[in-house]
Amino acid sequence: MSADKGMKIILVGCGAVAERLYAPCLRHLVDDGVLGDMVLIDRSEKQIEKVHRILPNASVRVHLSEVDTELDGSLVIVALPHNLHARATITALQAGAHVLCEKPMARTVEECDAMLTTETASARLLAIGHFRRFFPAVNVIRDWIAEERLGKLISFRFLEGEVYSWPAASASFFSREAAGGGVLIDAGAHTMDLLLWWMGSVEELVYSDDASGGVEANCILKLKMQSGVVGFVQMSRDWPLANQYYFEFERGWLLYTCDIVDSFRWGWSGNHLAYHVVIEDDLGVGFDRLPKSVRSGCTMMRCFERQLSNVLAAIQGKQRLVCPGTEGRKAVGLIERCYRERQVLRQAWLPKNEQAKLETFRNDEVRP
Amino acid sequence: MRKFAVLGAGGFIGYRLTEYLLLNEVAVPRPIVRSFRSMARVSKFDLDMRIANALDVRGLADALEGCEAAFHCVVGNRNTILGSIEATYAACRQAGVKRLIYLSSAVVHGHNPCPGTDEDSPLLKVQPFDYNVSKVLAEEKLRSMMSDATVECVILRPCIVFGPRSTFWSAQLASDILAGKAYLVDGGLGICNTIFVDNLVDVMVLCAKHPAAPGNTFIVKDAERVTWRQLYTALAAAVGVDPSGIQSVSSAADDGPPVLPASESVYYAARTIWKSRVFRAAKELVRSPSTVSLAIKLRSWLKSPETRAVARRPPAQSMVLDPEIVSLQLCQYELPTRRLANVLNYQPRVSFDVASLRTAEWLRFAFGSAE
Repeated sequence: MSADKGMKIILVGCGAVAERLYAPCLRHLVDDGVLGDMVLIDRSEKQIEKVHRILPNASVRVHLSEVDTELDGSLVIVALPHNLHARATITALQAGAHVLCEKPMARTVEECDAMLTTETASARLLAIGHFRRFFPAVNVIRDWIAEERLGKLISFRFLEGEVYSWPAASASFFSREAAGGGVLIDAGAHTMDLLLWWMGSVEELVYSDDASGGVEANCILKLKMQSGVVGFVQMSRDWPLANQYYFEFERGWLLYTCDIVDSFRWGWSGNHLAYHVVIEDDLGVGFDRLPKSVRSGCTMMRCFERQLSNVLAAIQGKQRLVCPGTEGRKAVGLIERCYRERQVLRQAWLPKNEQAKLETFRNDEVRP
Repeated sequence: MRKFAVLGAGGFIGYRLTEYLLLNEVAVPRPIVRSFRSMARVSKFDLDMRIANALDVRGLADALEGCEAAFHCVVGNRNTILGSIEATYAACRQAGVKRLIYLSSAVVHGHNPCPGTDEDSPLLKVQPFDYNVSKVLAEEKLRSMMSDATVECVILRPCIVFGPRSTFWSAQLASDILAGKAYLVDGGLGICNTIFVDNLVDVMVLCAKHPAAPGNTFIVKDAERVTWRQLYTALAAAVGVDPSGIQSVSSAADDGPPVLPASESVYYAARTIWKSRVFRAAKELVRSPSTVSLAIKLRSWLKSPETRAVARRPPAQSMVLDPEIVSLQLCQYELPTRRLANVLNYQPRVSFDVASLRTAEWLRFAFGSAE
């Protein structure tokens, strides 16, 4: 079908994201003749078997070092625990592979910088898996903010949370060493990416979370952007929140429901009418590369496929990466700043003595 | 410091117990959860957390190794309720755990116990609600196993457990009140038999340590006689709703259905509904570690014509009655806590008013309005 037919895809890490999102997308692309050989890498036989069921023609390895000689010119997808993102990405780039690294790009800015330095030296591409950028609604919201369709943006309020239901294949998401943090660096990496992509840099922030020697399950972030916009973000992985982003503009408001890829609501201030926008345009991102089977409608999975298509097209020089490493670094930078300036989350429902005890955990944290 | 294992530490009560043990330095809690994903809530603490299936004796025994006491806070369907208590007792025996505190429920006496009911009253095996029957059977199972006296056992029977992170008796009710879906039966004058979660964990910890606790069963409730109206009023205040707007439904028999005493008619209505396969499936769902959103989904299930036909004359077009809630609200008996006071010298530390304020603080946070 194209010049990249035959491009080898090496999927490193066969945990839940590989099984649920990457493997089905890759299967589509293989079925449509877009991709060539595929290699699955994981230490866990059980996990690799799950992904292999979806990609039965893929070969299987235990460690990235086993495919040293096959890396040059291939696309390596890094879907490992956060603490392994930097190492695997650097190894792959140094061996001549392009890399699509799952979010967050890494646990720290220091790790991000090492990845970016290697990317530059290797003359290969490094993309970060902030796939919400491929949601049509997210793109239109960005345009509306930039174009001031409803006037200047004044404030925003993001409430995002659920009882953790991701079928994690290991405990890595719950370890500060492995994950770098809790809900903020996990699901929050997407939120922070969108926040920065939509509204630019942060000037001031006040951040608090409930980590008490471990990793946070709840956090609250109050921000003032350089544009003067003020915002409130609450995230949880132990309680369902509204899962909505509310924007207040000079002349109206906009309400986006998390993970709805193609619609949002908006209205004029002082008017009782609300409008429901459904976006049907494909945005043009990788559209020419999409197999026919995914060209109608838009789902989260299809946005995920568009991310892969964008990376493949960027490797061929046909498109710009929608989320390059430099963008991934911004989200990690904001997350790192939050953790650095962390305060203890106020939990007024606890007895006073327990609230006091929570304060003692503040200095016990270990940053990677 | 002694180690206490908490089975089901990812749930509402198990989590609060874990937090309480740690923050009050009572013991080193060892949370035991069933899967990686269940670690999310408790992983805010740096604890020796273990993953074990509550039905797997060997896995549980490994997880319990070195613990002095174990708290059983596992929730689930009948298979889990029955299987897990059997497996937990066997695992405690195998791991040398000295004492097991089992969280049963006051519903073993039914939703509207006869006057005079106490811990020694016979348990109601015939009830329309599967959860209640499962709890009866689980207690019986535990009693038969504990006769070998290898593990000291304490059985606790709380009723309406509310407080921070309570999905149903706090968050869901508050959501319903906000959405105008909440209702009180007969003005909400029925006895609620509440137990604030902090009072419950107080008792659980006391039972793990007190020399007189083993072999006993305790009904656990707050000090006050709390009515359903009081609970709803407190939750309405927490979310800024005028409680006078909460709809009231009557349990009195009206035209059509046979005239029965109130509680009996609800019993038959509930039993009829229970026979509905759809309804049973939905109830199973809500008994799993449910979330508010899941509970909301359940409400839409309940709106199906099949269940609506059974509910007798809803007071408003949109009102859908949950037979379990109706049944609970008809309770006319305040459960006694004499044994708890006499044997363990326990009095609840947190009053209902303070408990309501703390719950309100949490609801503001949980609803995203704490700034």
